[in-house]
Formats: sequence, C-alpha cells, structure tokens
Amino acid sequence: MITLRPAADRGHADRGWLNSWFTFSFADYHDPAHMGFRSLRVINDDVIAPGKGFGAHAHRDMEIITYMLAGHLAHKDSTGEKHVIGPDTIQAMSAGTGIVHSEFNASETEPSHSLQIWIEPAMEDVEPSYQQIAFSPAEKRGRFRLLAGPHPQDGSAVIHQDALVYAAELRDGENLRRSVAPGRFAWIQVAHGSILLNGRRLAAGDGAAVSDESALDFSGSEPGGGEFLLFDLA
Amino acid sequence: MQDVNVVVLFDSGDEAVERLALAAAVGAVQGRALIRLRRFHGTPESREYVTPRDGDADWAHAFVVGGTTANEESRRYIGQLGERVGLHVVILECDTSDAARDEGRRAAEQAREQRRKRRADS
Repeated sequence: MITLRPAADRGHADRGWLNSWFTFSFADYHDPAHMGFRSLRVINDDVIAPGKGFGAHAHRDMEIITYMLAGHLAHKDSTGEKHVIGPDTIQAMSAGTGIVHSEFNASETEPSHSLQIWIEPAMEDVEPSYQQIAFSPAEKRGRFRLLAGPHPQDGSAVIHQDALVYAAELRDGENLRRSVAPGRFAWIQVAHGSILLNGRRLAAGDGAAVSDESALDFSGSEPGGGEFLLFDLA
Repeated sequence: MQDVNVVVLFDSGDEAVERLALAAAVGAVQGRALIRLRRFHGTPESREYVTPRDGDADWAHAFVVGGTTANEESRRYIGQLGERVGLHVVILECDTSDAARDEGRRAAEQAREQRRKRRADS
C-alpha cells in the first residue's frame, strides 16, 4: 500500500525569516493523523532567509539529519563542532544525552533550503556525536546513495536506529527499482522536480508512506527529472 | 520527565564563558530539563543567543548564571531573580566544562526536587 502525503497538505508556518513545511506534526502544527511514520518523526522543509537561523537550542535522544537542497548552513554545537554544510553533504547529529546547537544561513544574500529530518533512536542516552560527509553528485545520479544507516558503510553517517536513508536523482526516462524486504516499510520524500513511484507522480515536497509492498519502481517524470529521499524503515 | 525548565544565562563575549554556559546547558538537558539559553547584550557576532525575554523568569524553575555580571543591568536582573520565591538560582563559579555540566545537571535535579517538595507540602 502506498499512501501519498501531498506537499500542499503539509503543515506550514511562515515566520518571516523562516518558511517551513511540516510533513509531520512539529511545533505549533499538530495533526494526530501525521505524527510520523515508523521511527521517522520529522521532515521539515525549511527555507531560511539570508543571515537568519535557529539560535542555540537543545535536543535530546534524537537522530537529526540535515540535507541541503540549496545554499549553505553554518552549524555550531556544544561538542565543539563548527561547520558550514551545503548540497551533497550529509550532516547527522546524534543528540543522545544532550546537545546544544545553532544553525544559520551562512549567506547574507541568498536563502537556504534544507530538509531537517528527525529519526527516533532505538536507544536512549547515547554519547552525543556529529558527522558530516560530503559526496559527489554523481554518486546519487541514477542510483541510490546511502546517506545514513545503523552501520558504517560506503561513506554514510551512522545513526542509532534500524533505518537506512538514501538519496537518488533520476532524469527523465531513467529508472530505478528497489525491493522492500518483508516486514519493512519505506517513506519517499521528493526533494526536487518530480518522479513516478509505481506509476504515481510525486512532485517536490510530496511524500509517500509504503507498507506491504515488495518492490518500488522509480522513474524521472519530466525533463528536469527529480531527486528524492528513500527511508527504509523497520 | 522533562518537568523542569532551566534558563542558562551568561554575560560575556568571552569564548571560555560561552563554553561553560553551553556545558551547563548540556548538563541541564542531561538532567532532563527543558532549557533556554540567554546572553546579555548580544552582538551581531553572537546571533546564536538572544537576550533575556519577558516571561523567562516565570517559565523557569531554575536559572544557571555564568559570566562576570560586569554591568549594572545584568546585576539588577540577577538580583531580581534571587528575590523570586521558589526560583532556584545557581551562579557558575567553576572553570571547567565538566564541572559546569555537573552544575547544570544538579540545578535541574534540585529544581525538580524543590517542585516535588512544594507539591507534597501543598
């Protein structure tokens, strides 16, 4: 079964400096029907005005992945990490026992666009950690590029959950097939452009929950193609 | 369990003081508190922090204060905090992150214990 979560149905908040669309309930947006999917708790689609951002705030017991769609974010945290991240970079932070961080649009002229993803960890009270891994855009062209998973492999970030996060980019006419193991679930989130998922068109911002399916067929559906994230979830 | 709120407030542009404040905030989070981080006199270079807001003192069960309290405004603010009944105020006097983290955690735990006692007494 594939259940669509259309972009236009998401929660939305415009704070002036921050324009956010919430796939799942977050902050003041609360919809009991959309509290997450399996261990996937948050997908926030954030456009941040130049020079603006989130001041120092805390997290606990959450795996937080930031995936940049455009622009750059400056990150600073209580473990001493201070970085700027841009597209084609995985940033994963395990909040564990507690972490304080800030993130700001690193540009004073251009907005940034990012997906912030929260995955509930399988265990509490892990040591806080920060990972940042850059990769070539070619690694996601026409194939799945592993961004994060429970085991260190292929230059991916390690998260404390039985969840695999992939990015893939398909041009018009390109196809990808992904089998879904029995008892596993998947979430698809379109980042750019549009794709076909088992014949159904998904555009930027659209999501899809997948359960009781054995295979997923993806293809690029317009000349510009599309980029999407695939979450393989227990 | 996140039933206590802790404000960590510091008053310095000194990176060492900021580090201690961050460590205290992490300690409070480890103590399962909700936190707010505040800094007197933010500058464009310190956009990570906002100055104390109206309502912070009502929201908080504990304040952890770090820094030199070098100016009159911050001294007055902290003095007013000390007069609030039931508000647990800790002045950071340590100089290592580990000690600051312990102070933050202890502040959360003590504020929780104070709340528990008040509830039991009422």
